[in-house]
Amino acid sequence: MFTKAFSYEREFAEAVKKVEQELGDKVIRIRYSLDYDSTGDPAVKFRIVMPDSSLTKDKLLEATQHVSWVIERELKPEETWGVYPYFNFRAESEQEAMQEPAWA
Amino acid sequence: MAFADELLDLARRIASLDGVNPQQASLRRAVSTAYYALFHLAIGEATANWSQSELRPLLGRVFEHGKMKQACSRLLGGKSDIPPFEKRATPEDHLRAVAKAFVQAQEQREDADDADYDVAAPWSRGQVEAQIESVADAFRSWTAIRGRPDAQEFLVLLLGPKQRRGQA
Repeated sequence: MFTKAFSYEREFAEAVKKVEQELGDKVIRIRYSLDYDSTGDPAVKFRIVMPDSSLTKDKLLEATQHVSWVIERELKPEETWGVYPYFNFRAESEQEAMQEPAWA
Repeated sequence: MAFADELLDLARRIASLDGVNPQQASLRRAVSTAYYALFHLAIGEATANWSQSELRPLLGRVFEHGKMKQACSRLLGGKSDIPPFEKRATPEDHLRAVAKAFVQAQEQREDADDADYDVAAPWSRGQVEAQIESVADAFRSWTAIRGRPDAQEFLVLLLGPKQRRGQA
């Protein structure tokens, strides 16, 4: 089965970059992996580093929902690229402490 | 407190264990518990409609994780963009929010629980808290629509029935 994101990775990366720029200071950076999810469906798993100020208990839900909504609305992962989107969020200070390459 | 609410509360408490250096076991368990909170919310709401209460646990065992995810994916229909809670204007928005949260939570549970896969990829507390709150958000959306016919039909569809003729 043809999955556009898998076949046009460079174009997908450019599209993600464009959304990242559109989000401005709402995100530190967006990383992702293209793969199949646990049920075998094509997927994109986003790893999004957020400013610490966004992930306080009172702002966390609003901030993360806004970012995921913008990504889905602008990128249209399923409609345009054939991949179901999953989202993971991490605070900038957490990533600085953990130094995980996949989030760098 | 209903069992599903207890599980959501438990997920939050597990995620906050261990002070500033949370153990991976705690964080992964919190992710899994949040998924099961949503899983049991759906099952509890569905089986509550069965008038013979002593049979509800048995009916609950008919639900399968995979079929529930498929039902949610089918409802989303290739368009998973869901507005934030305060921007959900229609009951359909709320129902789709529940479906989307279920798909996300199940996949996160797979990632957290599968000791054979990516055990080296650690979780952060912020990551886990974001996931738990997305489940909590689904609880709120469900509360907004639970009495509606389309929401009740959704509960039945989680069983994975064959589609009616003419439906995809």
